[in-house]
Amino acid sequence: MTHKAAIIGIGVPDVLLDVPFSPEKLSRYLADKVEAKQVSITDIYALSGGAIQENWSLNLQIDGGKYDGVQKWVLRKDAPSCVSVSNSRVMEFAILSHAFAHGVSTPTPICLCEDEQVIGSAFFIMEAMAGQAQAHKLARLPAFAHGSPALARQLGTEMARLHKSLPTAELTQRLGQPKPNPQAHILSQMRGYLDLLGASQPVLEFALNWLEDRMDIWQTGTEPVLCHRDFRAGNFLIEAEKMTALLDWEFAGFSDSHEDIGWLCARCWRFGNDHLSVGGLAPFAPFREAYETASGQTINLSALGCWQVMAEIRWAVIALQQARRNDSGQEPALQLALSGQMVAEMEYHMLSLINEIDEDRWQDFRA
Amino acid sequence: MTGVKNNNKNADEMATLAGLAAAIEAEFNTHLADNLPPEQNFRKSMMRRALNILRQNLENADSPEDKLAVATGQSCAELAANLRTGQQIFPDSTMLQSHLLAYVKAKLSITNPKFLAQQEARQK
Repeated sequence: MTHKAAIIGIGVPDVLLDVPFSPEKLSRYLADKVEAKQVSITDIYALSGGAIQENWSLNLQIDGGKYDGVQKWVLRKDAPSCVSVSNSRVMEFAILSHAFAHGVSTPTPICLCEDEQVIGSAFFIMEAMAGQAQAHKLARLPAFAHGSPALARQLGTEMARLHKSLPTAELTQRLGQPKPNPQAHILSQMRGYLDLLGASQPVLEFALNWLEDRMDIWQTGTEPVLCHRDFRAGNFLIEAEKMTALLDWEFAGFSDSHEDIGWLCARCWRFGNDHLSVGGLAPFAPFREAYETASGQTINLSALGCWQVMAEIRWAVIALQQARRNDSGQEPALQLALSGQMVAEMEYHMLSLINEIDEDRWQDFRA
Repeated sequence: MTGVKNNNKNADEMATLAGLAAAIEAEFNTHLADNLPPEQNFRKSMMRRALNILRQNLENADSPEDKLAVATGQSCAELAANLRTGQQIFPDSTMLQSHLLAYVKAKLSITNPKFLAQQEARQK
């Protein structure tokens, strides 16, 4: 059942939008949860992006309780279908709360609802944060044309803060004990996902073999840490060259710290600014300096190259999984179908990286 | 799979389908796209991209997968399976790498020729 709600926030006032849950029921739940006399939803609309999860913007008038007044929150719930590697909303809320408590810039977590009777699936609520997330647009801003050293330093410090945080025993239990060999684990995981997809992907198989053959370079011997595992431009909000919030904790888990760095610096996440290794927005040197200072860990560049190749493989696998959601008829959507058409871009990057590393021409992180 | 391959359809039928796809694309771009409201820009760009990929696929008689099979003597599925089991495909792995790169470029010429041109310029 869908419900009609006015959308105001995207510039089309007085248009009715289908909302796949009851705003009234949600209001009653929130009032009870935040101990308010009444919660009125004055505006509700779907936020763009998020092929795996749905994010709904909520403008609220709250009467009484600790959040008394006008509030702007975001509701995050599962999309009709999700990818294999994605955490549940319950888990994601636990990780978000942990990161927030350890000083990582994230949206303030408000509450978690596991009761599927309220809107049809588990969801959580967090504070809406200011800033622009659309990486394509950010990469075109004059402020980022030559890269922002200030942003690089902040990203390095924030990432180190997350990697240094020690999860509680309860969170560790929920996440599962860290794998002693994250590299072997992710290789096996990617091959498993390809098998589940029934996908014949010779380029991905070739790249996986290449990584397996370089395990001695790839493994750093450092203890696995809590990683975001989707820390990239597009998943953080930027305002005035400053990250206001790191979003989308659905893939977080224990891994080698270089996985997060390799993902942030992957070629597939530079949005046309290929010369700026840190998300197409910032140079690497100040990121590295800030990260190493804050974490006390030296970044191993050879291992990082391997994680860059893995980043391309992993994004390709996720794109194939997204396309499968469309192709199977489970969730017909053009955006999902087009994800599958992007795989060749990641394949190009992985083959180029492999060739450059093999021929000692790889210069992504050289000063 | 990027390339649309259907052995049951002959070249004439494929050409007819390619013509239909081209007509839909032209119709959309000429008469519909500019009349959509700004909040539909994202959908509009997705439609344009999808129609373009569809037409390019139908216009290419040999799919990238077919070309790779000719170059390696193995179907895409066989090649992937052999790589998984660690079988040596060619005496020299650079030859395999070169065939795989040609395959990826063939896919990109259909799905994102602009990206391919930019990356090729970067490599020079």
